[in-house]
Amino acid sequence: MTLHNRLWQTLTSMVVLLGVLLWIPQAAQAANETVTLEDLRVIDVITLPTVRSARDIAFTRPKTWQVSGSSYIYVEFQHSHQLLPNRSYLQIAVNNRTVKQIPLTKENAERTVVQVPLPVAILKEQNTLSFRVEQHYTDKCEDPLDLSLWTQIHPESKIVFEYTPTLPKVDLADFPYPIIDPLGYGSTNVRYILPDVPTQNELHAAALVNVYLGQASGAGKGLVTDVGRAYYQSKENEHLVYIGTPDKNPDIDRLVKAHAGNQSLSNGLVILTTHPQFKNRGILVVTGNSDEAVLKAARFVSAHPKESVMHGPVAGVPGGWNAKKAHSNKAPRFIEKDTRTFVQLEIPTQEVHKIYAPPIVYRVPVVTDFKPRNGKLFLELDYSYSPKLNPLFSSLELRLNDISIANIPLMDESGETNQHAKVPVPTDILKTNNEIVAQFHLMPDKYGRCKNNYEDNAWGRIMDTSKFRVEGGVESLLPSVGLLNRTGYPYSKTDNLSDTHFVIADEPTQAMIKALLGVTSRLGRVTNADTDLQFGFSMGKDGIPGNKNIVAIQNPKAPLDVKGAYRLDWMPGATAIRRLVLADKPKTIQVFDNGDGAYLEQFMLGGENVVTVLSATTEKGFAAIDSLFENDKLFDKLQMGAVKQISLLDVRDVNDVNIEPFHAERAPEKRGLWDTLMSWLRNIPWAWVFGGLLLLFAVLILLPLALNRIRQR
Amino acid sequence: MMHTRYNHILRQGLASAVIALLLLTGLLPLASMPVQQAYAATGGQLVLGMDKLGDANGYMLETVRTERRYPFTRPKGWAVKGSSRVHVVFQHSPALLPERSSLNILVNNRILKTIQLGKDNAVPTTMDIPIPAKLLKDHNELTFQVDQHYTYDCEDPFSKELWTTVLPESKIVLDYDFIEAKPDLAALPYPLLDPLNNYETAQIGYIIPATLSDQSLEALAVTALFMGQQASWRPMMPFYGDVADLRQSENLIVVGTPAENPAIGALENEFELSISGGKFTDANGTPLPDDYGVIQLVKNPYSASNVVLVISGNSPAGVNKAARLLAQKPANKILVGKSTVIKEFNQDEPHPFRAWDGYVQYTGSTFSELGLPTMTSRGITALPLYYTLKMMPDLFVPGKRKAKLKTVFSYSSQLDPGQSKIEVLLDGKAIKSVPLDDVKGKSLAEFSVEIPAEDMHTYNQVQYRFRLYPEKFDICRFVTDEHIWGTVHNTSHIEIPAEIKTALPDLGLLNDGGFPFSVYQDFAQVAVVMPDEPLSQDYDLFLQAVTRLGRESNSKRGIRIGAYHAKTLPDGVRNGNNLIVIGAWGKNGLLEKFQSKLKLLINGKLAELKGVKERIAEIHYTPEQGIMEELISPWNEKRVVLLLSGESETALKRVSQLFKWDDWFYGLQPGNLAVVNADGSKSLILLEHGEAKFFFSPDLREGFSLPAWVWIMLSFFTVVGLFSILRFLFGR
Repeated sequence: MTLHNRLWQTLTSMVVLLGVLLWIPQAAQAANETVTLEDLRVIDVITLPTVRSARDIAFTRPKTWQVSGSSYIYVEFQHSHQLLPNRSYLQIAVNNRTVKQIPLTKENAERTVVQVPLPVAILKEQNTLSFRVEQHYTDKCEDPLDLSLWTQIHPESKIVFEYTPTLPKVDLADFPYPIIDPLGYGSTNVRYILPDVPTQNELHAAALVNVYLGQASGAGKGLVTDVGRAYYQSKENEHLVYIGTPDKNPDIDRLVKAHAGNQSLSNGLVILTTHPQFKNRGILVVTGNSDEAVLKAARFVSAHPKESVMHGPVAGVPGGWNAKKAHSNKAPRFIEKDTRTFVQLEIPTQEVHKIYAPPIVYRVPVVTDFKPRNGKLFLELDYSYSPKLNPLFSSLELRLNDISIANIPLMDESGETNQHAKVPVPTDILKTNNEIVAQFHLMPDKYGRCKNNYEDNAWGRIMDTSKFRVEGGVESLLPSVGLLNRTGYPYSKTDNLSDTHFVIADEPTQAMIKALLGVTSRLGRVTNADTDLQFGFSMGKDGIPGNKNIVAIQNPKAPLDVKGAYRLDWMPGATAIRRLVLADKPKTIQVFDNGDGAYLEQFMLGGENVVTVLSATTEKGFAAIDSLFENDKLFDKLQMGAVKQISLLDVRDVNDVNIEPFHAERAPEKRGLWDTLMSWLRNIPWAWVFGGLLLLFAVLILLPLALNRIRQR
Repeated sequence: MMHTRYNHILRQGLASAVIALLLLTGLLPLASMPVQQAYAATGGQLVLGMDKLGDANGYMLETVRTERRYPFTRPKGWAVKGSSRVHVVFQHSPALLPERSSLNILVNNRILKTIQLGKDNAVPTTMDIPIPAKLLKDHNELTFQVDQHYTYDCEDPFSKELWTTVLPESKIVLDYDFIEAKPDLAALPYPLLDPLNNYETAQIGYIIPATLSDQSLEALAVTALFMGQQASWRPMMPFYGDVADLRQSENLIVVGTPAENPAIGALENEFELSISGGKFTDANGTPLPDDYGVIQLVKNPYSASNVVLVISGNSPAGVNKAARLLAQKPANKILVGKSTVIKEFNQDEPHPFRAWDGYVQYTGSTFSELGLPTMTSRGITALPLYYTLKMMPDLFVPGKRKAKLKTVFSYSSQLDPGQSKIEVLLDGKAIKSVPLDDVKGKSLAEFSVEIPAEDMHTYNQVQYRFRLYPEKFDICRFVTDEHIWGTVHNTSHIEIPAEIKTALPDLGLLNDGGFPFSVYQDFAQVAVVMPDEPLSQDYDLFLQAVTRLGRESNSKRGIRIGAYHAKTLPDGVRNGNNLIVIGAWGKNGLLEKFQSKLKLLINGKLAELKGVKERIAEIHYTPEQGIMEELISPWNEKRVVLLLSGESETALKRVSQLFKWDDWFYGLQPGNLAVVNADGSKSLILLEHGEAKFFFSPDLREGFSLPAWVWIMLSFFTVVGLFSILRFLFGR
């Protein structure tokens, strides 16, 4: 044995020993988590006006937290100097129980901080933190709307949880818990442990599990993934997903032996267990005795609805089980060319209360252009409101992207239920991501200064039966990577991704696989399948379909050759030259590529489908693509355009990353007969037609007449 | 110890003496200077007075409850310090009840201060309110909010006694440190131009050698014009510098080959691409081919918060290629990193003729086509909505015709129909008032107003003023106005029965968007002609004029301006282009070739002014007087020549200042001749009959259009023709 071999053996033994040591269960460590108001979706200062008002904020207690008594609520507030201390106070309540009442005095009028112990005994899984005020500026004649009546809760306020992680209940029937805890805060971190050289089926399996986890995570919470080849690479905050066969990964072999004994691996096997060291972290093993079996196990674990045999810590894929090819029955959560109800858009019925009721905000993506073909969009609202409203001043105002578009007067003093209003939505201010605000102006009928009869029981409600009605034609905005933002369009047109195909380069690097996981977690988060996931997957140049929406991950120096009109490519043979094709085909720009950029490009495939190509020539570039897809703040920056460049110089600083559009181009639109005819008529140069007729008249009539006259003479 | 210290002092002293000696004798070549440690980024103070916030005369907050919001930005390259503040100077009606009246000052919706409006502060009162630095974002809003009452009893909310005035001395003071620059070509034009710095003039120094080849000179013109277009309405002042000015603590642009421009060699240590034997090399040390362009963005070695942009190549052709890619939209987004080498660059299609963004092109446009937004105004004290309708400067509206403004608007329900209305004002004059008389409110309603042709200009300010009153409003019943609003939609439309014809030459059109040089927004068919041996004042004038033309235009493609020295101006370019000729008499050879056409001839110390038929006067010429003259090109009657001249450094400097300073430039009056004095320009119209031309360009690509009378004739002949055909076929 050579010295080199001995050294290698010693090193390997040490690594294995370290791994074994790390497996030894350790005592649960105390931990803490700070949850800011922004984490609880309160993005601005909370202003509490009038003589009496309140703001409720929902928060959760994650399942695996044993919250300790040292947890506290940190409140930063200020209030008007004019408040009377003996009659004004701020109450902080948790689950309707007042935990602190603070008199609003001159001393705490400026920025003041209080720390209130979190009442852990009354905490449930779903909780409410309330800020309530009672405020007066005079003992005599008081105007309840006076501007001097205010208290502000600053966004720096937070809940600090001190907790001990507890062992989660592990049961495949509850999967994806504990990997995805619906009650958890922040992003979920998952590390995929893959074979050194993963096969197409193993990568397909990883993509399936990741889309499934993304869908469970939802749009509101991040899913951050990483790729590793061994257990000891994992971090404290990471859940683990093992994909592969036991023969390629000794960890999987050990886990199978420990949990599944002699259970057959021929059809695929799924194991769910907890992390031996970090107790509240889960481990999912998707395995089989071949890569086909691994893929089947991934399909099995991501099946919708969950198979009945999926319970306990281990489930083998039953013989003869196959994924169902059912169509998704769900409508996409964006407006394309069909009418959508609020239920379809997953917008619930919402109700607001009292004067200065908070606005109801709807985020409505529109992925088509209404203007070119004169399409119309209507908001058909079903609403109700309380009795005892002042009919002169109460209304339901609708704002689209900060522009007031309609006011519905609330004029019946006895209130109304299930009213219906059809409001035209001005398409001139429609964007891809729209914010529609329904603002109830609820003025109590007995309001009046110096009248001690002020009572405010007003409420307004908008029902989930409301809908957005589309009338007339719309035009596609594809190709544009900007449409991926928030909607994942057009991939998300089917929630089970049945029209999507992922393709990755042969022998992908870890960074490329990470980029694949970034894209799949994003597409997962913007979809929510009700049937088995059905996207296709291939490696290398073969097997790329021509009738699907494609996502291709490639190093353009070894392109995948997905057919299409690329704007951006790399010169074959000249590895360091990047080429940008301008609008006119033969015209190009060639610059030397120093690997400082990563690229997203989208183009049409056969007029119906799109291809999104994610390109980079360096590992750093693929890492940037992964960051783009997994980081919400960064991804929200994606604007319309067919090609985007991500600058890699400052990729760690989200605010400094440049994502720039190159070209925005429209897909050739399929026109109906009438549209084609009208377009043809519009394009006729009528002046030339008239001129031609005149010439014809001259040649055919005047000339023969003249000739005839000459002949007669 | 003593010995060591002595040595140190001796070494220091010797070094200082040597440097002093070298500096004194001018023997310290910049090129061999070691790149020094970057200076620490310092900071400054920005004072945003009420004039910069939009209310130069302050603002009076009236009625019982109202607010005024002022948006302001935090520039990208600044770290704002905790000493920043709102300096508010206010006064209010002495009739206000102190216990019932207050002024709130908010930044980004957070109340920073509530001030009780008592007897003690009814007179002008000053207060400094600190702005917490972490409260500031890129886009911010300062709000003054009042609640004011004069009685506990029945109160008229419009009483003249209800007022608080934020006086014009009020200001936002932002103290800041500069953030260290991070050069990245993908972020251009930042940090040369900060898109969030709407307040300070962007200073850019162009480091140019005394002699530049034509192609490098053209690269300079392309770069300066591009930077001007990027700045647009933001103030920008370029300045000329030579290699010694590399030490300036500003953002700099260096143009030329390493052989032409010694500044490039002086920056060598900063570059990613090294220079060997006076040529840029690749990673292997092989010189790049001559026709390759090079763009590099590096930190300014003398100022940590500034950068130096290098537009270069190993030949002037490479320099030109680099500049053209820098200016080519949107392909310039391919630039990334600290350096780029350009192998091939094919310029995209030219910017279409007369396709000016945001201008009415011909017969009319919607507000949306003009890039104008839909806007809402709220409450009893609804602020007016302003729209600037811009018409192409070559549009001519014949006398008796009328423009038509169709307004699409919406308004809220529960308005008092007797009092509520929308008013339209054109350039401050009311032209229409429409009642808002549907208590249920209206969505996408319309009204039209006709405007006499003579009231329409290149820039027209339309103001919509909503007068909104809650339904059944009267004293003692007023409750709230938070639910009332009015919206003007950008589907509104202006229709102008105009013809395309403009009389040229006319210097007054220069400040109407740089017409006619900017008729192609990429400045195709424009060439700048410099003296064969330009002086610093010539370069300065060149930079100011080109930057100004850039600020007046916006190409969606590349930049195609040409630049030449008088001797090398090709005949084809001379004959086919609008020319801008720079330089003093005797310095620019091209001047001699059209001096007979000029109205003002300088002959030594005499100036000869030619009138309609004969010489008007011969006077002693004041050498400090700058001269601008525009004339129909002697080589092409469809083109013009703009002469920017003067017989002294001061004279040329004054012409520079005209382009540099907004108030001088926008003060330029119609005429074919202008003299530029110490206080600005004076224009004269000295044209003989037939000398002014109505330009109706053959390049017009608006589609086939004919005058109305031709249409009538054509229709008549067509009907007669058809009738004749019928008669011919069936008549006998």
